Amino acid sequence: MSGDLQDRARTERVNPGSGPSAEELATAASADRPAVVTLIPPPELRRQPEPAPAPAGRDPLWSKHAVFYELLVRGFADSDDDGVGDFGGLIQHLDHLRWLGVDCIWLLPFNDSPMRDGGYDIKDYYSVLPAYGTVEDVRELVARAHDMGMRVVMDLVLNHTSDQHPWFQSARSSPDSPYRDYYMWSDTKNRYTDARIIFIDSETSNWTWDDQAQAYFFHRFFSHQPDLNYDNPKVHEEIRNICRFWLDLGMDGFRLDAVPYLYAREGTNCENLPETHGFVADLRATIDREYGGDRILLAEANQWPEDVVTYFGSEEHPECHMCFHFPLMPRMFMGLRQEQRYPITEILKRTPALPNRTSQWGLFLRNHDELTLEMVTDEERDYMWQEYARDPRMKLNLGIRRRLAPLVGNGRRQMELFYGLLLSLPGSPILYYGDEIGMGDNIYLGDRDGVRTPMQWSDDRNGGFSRADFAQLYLPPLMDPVYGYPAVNVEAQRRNESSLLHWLRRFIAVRQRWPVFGMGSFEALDAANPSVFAYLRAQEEHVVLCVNNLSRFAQPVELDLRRYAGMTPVEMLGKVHFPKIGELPYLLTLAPHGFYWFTIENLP
Amino acid sequence: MSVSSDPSPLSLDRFGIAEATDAIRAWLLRVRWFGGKERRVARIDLDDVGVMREERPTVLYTLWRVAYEGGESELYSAPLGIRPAPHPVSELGADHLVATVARGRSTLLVYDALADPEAAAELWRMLADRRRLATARGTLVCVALRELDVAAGDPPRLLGVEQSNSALVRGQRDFLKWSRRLEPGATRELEMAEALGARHFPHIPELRGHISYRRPGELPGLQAILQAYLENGAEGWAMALTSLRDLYAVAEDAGHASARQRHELVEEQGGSFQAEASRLGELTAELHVALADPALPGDMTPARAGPAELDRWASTMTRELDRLLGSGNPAVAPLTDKRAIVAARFDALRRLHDGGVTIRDHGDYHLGQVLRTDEGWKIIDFGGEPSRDAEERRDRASPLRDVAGMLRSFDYAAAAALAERIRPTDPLWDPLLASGNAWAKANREAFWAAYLGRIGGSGLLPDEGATVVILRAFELSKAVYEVVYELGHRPDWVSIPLGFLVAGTP
Repeated sequence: MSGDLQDRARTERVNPGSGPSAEELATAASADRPAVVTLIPPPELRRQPEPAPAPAGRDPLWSKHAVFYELLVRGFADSDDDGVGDFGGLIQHLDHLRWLGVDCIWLLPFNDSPMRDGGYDIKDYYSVLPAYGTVEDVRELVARAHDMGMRVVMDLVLNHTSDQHPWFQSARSSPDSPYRDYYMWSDTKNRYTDARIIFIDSETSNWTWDDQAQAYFFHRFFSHQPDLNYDNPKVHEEIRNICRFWLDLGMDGFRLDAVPYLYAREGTNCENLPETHGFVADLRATIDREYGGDRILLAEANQWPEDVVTYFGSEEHPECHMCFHFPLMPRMFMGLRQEQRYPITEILKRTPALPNRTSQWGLFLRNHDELTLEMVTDEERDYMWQEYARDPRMKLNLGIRRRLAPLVGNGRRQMELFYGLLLSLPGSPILYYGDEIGMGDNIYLGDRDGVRTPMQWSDDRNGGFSRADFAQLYLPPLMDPVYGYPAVNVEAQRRNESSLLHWLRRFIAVRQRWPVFGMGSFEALDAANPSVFAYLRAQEEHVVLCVNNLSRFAQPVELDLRRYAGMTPVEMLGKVHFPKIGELPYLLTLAPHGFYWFTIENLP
Repeated sequence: MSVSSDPSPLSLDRFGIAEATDAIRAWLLRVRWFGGKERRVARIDLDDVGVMREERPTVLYTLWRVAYEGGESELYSAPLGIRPAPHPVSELGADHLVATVARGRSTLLVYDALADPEAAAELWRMLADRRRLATARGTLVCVALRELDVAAGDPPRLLGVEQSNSALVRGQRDFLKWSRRLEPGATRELEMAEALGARHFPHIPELRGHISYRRPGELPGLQAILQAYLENGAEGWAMALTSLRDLYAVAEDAGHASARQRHELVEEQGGSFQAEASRLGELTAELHVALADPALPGDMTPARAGPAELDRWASTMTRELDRLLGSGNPAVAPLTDKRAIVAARFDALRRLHDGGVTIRDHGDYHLGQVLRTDEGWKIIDFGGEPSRDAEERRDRASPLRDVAGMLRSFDYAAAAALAERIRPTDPLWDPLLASGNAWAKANREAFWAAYLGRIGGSGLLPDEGATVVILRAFELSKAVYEVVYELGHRPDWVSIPLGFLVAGTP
């Protein structure tokens, strides 16, 4: 009976890593059984130890001024010398993140997975990939992070599962499986033909024939990642229960993977459908109601800003707290290459206002995926390819797989300028592990692994990442003379006060002293010199002026600051008082790729 | 302030500042917008006065007739503010503080009203109220094309640069150009703004209002024009120079390069301008199509250039060429030998049967007349070529004249950006300019291809052969004009247009 299966499922949940087999599910689902068969952990087992309180009490707006740090457990630190990073290693290195000034850690997928897509192919949402550790390890990580004043959010892959997930194994086994409707089946490939193919390098269709099921199944990503069927309310309940499980453990929120693609409707491109928004709004309402309003949802919606902004929802029906601002990032690189501000100011101008008080843009320079070019025009995409990826190996899925440092030719000034923009433009900055020390990449590794090599902690063996044999490592660490761990590592940069790491820490600290960076308004200032990008951030009496030189040559700029006549720009790092603002245009000169942050102050 | 009972309408006496008259005259002679600095002034008289605002500050509308020796005269417009001292306007400086007048125990400050935000705000109130202000001899008529919220935003501020007019910006919202020299008759700038606005041409600043000055028996003159302020704008010229600085820096590092390497340098340049040049080409074609609307009024109605018109173009161009050569300036000697070749390019116009459609074009089109904004490019300043008189500027012309202006501007930018780095006499000039010329060629081609792509099928241009002949003639003619200009202003730069003329067409 269904009760049997639920009991079994309960037991399996407590021992992560071994879900019910497909045969068991198929048996359970056979013949005259009622269709309501779910894998929900029952309430008594979901009751978990009280998690350590999150930092700063229950501030529902914490994500609006937080500094995020994205990492993959696999690549961060290995505590058990098996060559693969794990939660134990991450816990040991939390002090690095706290020292840097990180407020919130974003964990890439760590659930049990056949690992054919970096963990975005989950086969059990309630367990942890054994190589990374256990659910108890995650609980400890969250507790330790909370103790240190940091929060933790995790990736939630909700559009699809692995084809190894027991749901899919059961679903494919029989049309009568109670899980059949968890996925999208068809007798023909000619449905949803307007949906684009995202991984154009490896997939030719969004439909793949399954011999066992004798049907096609729908997938927006790889053919081993069948899409969940959101027309089935049971799928909603499953996702809600997965969320409850991790929130009960203390998790501070979720980064919702591939959120625009949840629903499919004939005659549309199957993106951003109203039904998808309805589901996200429901999920938000559920989490707010049950968890008190300080847990966040972060949307991955790689779309134009006017489409992305809809994932914040409205005042009455909020959806996500944060959305990544995808188009801004390639535009920043274009601005640097063209040495003028319009690629950036255009997209900011096109960015709609935030629709409710909890919403915030998530800004990033680079992340675990390739430099995202889906959102630029063809001409600009060609341009980006030409500028950043003359080597065809760097091209992948309309993107470029490089880290920040190699993207700017290891130029320290350029990296500083980019971080200056990241930390001062409207939004919450998201750092990518390793970029705080200027790590390089390995373009000869397959897929997107080139930017997922082991974190470089020291110049010890394997860069201090692991004491395993070199050949045992999940990926080889970088060893080249420019970016390799002997040259670029945390330990050396901690000892050197003028390192990029120290520099970044100082600027993060400045940012965190001034809430105006997270909450303030944004206004681009006119400048006759197109190489200079100047803007004001303002919140009540706090006004910050940021002036950036996108050119590799020194540049002058005259700014009309007359509205602040009589006030004094004070450079924020050194508290240096610049000349008072008068009636004449305010003249500044900037070093190549230089930038300033000023507060505008009324000094006696 | 009390107004005295002086009956004379054309005196400043009743405002208590008659003693300031001489100081006002002296001020007129020294301000940047006074255009007669090289001429001998015979006398300056108050020509009209009106009260724009009564109190705190008092704002007077004044017109001054500047008569030159030889009989010609010009009319200058000077709104004056009057405030009792002490007041911060006393700190405005010699450009804007006109006079200090003792009045019993107190002192009155007389100053340029446009430099005082409180006084200048009166201009916006006049527009918002659509006021008709009677002056001693005429009327100021204010027209607002939409409702103006004068209470919102920052007070108006005078922009730094002043040439023949003074520009004010109000809180990043709108932009008011005040004509310092008042000329009766229709104004090209306003006509163009109205015609393009009525045709919903999106690439110009929106026209929001204007103030005209009327006097019985004379044609009205445009006193002020109010347009949308273009936020975050940078001139095409500055954008092109940014691209070229990038190019020259790379070219300097690369050293001597073959033509093929130079081409690659431009093609692979990080700060390429070609996409912008292409967008400018499209937009220029759209401008010309809008201006080719047969419904346009009066002398803006498009016409067709037949043999007579083509002959007239050739004659004008040849005459200007010969006037330059006849100047006897040794700098133009290299052109003397090439006169026949250049003149033959002009003569070629006479062999054409059809010159295409003529329109009221932009008239002074170059990279300094286009502004890059976050909404793409905007075209500004439709006043026509400043060296031509008002009537001549109203003449219809081939749209290819604008195209030629922009194409020349790419060449000019390439040379100007190099002139920032080295003098034309430097041995590196020629090898580096070769890279710059490759840049200009690529951008000219991008602009022209996009222009043709958009204008094709409009019937504006004559057949392909004639189009090329006309375009080349306009380019050469433009270069002749440039040589004349540089001889007068920047003799070092004469080689830029002269090089183009001597080399013939590229």
